[in-house]
Amino acid sequence: MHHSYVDRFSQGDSPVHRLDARVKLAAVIAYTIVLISFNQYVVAALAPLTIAPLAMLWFGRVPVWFALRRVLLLCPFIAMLCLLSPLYDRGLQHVAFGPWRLDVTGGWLTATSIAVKFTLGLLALTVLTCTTPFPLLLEAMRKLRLPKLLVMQLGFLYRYIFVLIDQALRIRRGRDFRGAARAPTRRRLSAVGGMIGSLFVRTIERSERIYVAMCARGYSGEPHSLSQLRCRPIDGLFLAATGVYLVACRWLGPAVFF
Amino acid sequence: MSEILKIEDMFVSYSDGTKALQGVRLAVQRGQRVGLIGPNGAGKTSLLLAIMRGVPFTGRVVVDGVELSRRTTDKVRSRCGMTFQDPDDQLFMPTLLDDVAFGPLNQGCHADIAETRAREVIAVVGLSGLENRCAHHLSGGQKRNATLATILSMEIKLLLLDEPGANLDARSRRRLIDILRLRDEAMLLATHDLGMVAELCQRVIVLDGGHVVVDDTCDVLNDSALLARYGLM
Repeated sequence: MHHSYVDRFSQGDSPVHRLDARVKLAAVIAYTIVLISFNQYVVAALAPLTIAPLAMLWFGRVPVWFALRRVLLLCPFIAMLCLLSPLYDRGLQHVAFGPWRLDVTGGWLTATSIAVKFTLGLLALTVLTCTTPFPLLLEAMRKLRLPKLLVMQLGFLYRYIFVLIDQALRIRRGRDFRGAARAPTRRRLSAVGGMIGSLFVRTIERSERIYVAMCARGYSGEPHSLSQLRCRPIDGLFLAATGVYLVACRWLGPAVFF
Repeated sequence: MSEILKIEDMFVSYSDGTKALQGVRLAVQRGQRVGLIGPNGAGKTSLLLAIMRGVPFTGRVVVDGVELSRRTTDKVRSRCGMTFQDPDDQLFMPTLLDDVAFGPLNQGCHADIAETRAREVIAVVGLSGLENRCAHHLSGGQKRNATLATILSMEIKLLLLDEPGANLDARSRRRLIDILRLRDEAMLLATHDLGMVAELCQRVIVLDGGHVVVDDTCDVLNDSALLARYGLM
C-alpha cells in the first residue's frame, strides 16, 4: 500500500481544493449531522442530499469511480447491519412510488436507509480527504478545537501507518524469499504468528523511540504547530450556502429540489 | 575551554540483562567535535540516549553545568539536540516545516520566528521547496538531512548525532560534513564512518563492550592494529 492511495487527488488545484480546510470540515460535520437526523424509515427524503457530494466531487475533479470504489471497500462494515435489519423489524410500512403503493417490512426500509446514509456519509468524507491535504485537515481539527489527543493520534496514524505497512511487507518478503510457499501449512501459520509478534514488538520499540525523539526536542504534552490556514470571503460564502442547502434538505424536503 | 558535557561512572543495563555501558567516564569541551566509534553493540547509541535520559542509567551526567536528573531533564534536553539512526523515528509531524519548527516552538519561540528559522535551516540542509511535504514523500537522503534540520533549528549547545551519514550517497555525505563543519556547537558523533570522523572531529573515543577503551586525538585512526583490534577495519 502506498501513501498515494490516501493522498491521491488531495494535492490538486480546484475551487474545492482552495477552500479553507476548516470550512470544509465544518460543512462535512454539519452534512453528517443532518444525514443521520433523518428517521430510520426515511429513504426518498435523502435524495436531495446526494447533490452536494456529487457536485463537490465534480468541482474538485475527483473521479466518481474513485469515490465509489472507496465506499465499496468499506461496505463489509455496514453490510451485516443492513442484512440483519429485516430480521429484527418485521412491522409493515406503507411505501408510495408516485401512483404505486406497496407494503414492505420496516426492516427493509431501515436497511435501505442505513445503506444510503452510509454511502452519502462516505462520499462526503471522500470529498473532504481528496480535496484537502491531510496536514491541513489535522490543523483544521486543531483550530476547530477537536480533542488534542485525538488529532495527535490521527497525525501519528497518518505518519506511521505506511511505515508499518512497509515494515510488514519487508518481513513478508523476507519470509517468501526463504521458500515459505513450499512450507507446510502449519509451519506457514507459525511463521505468520512470528511475523505479527515481531511487527508488534518493533512497533512498540518504534513508538518508544519516537517518544524519546519528541521529548528530546522539548515536547511536554502540548503539541505546537505552525498555522497555514487562511479564511477568505469565498469560504464564508461557501459555509453560508451549505447552511441554506442543509436546512432546505432537512426541513423543506425533496419538493424544493425536484 | 569549559566542559559542556561530563559523564562519570555511567552504567546502562537493559531489562534482558544486556550491559550496554559499564562505568563510562568522559568529558567534552565547548565547541569540541568528538567522534564516538566502536563495533556494533559497543554502546554508542545507549550513551547518546542516556545523555538525553532516553534510557535508564546510573552515574552522573552534567550538561552545560546542569546535572541530569528527573527534575532537570527538560532543562538538559533543551540544551542538546539528538538525531536518531532511523529518520522515521524523528520525523513525526505532518509536514517538514512543522517538524523543523517543532523544537523551536517547544523552546518557547514565537510562531513567526520559529517558521523563519525553520525555513532558513531547511534551506541550509538543501531541502528548500519541500517545506510542505510529508516525511513519507521524502527520499532516504532527504529524510536524513531533514532530521539534521530538526535539531539545527533549535538553540542548543551540544549535538548528539547517531550515524548521521548512514545511507547517504557521496554528494549528500559531503554536504553533511560541510554543514557540520560550520557549526559552533560541541558535537558527539557516533558513527562507523571513520573518514567522516577524521574530517570533522578533533578527538576520538572508542567504545567496546560498554567501556571507553581509547580516548585520543584523531591520529589513532591511522593505527591499523588498534582499529583491527576493536573491529573497526
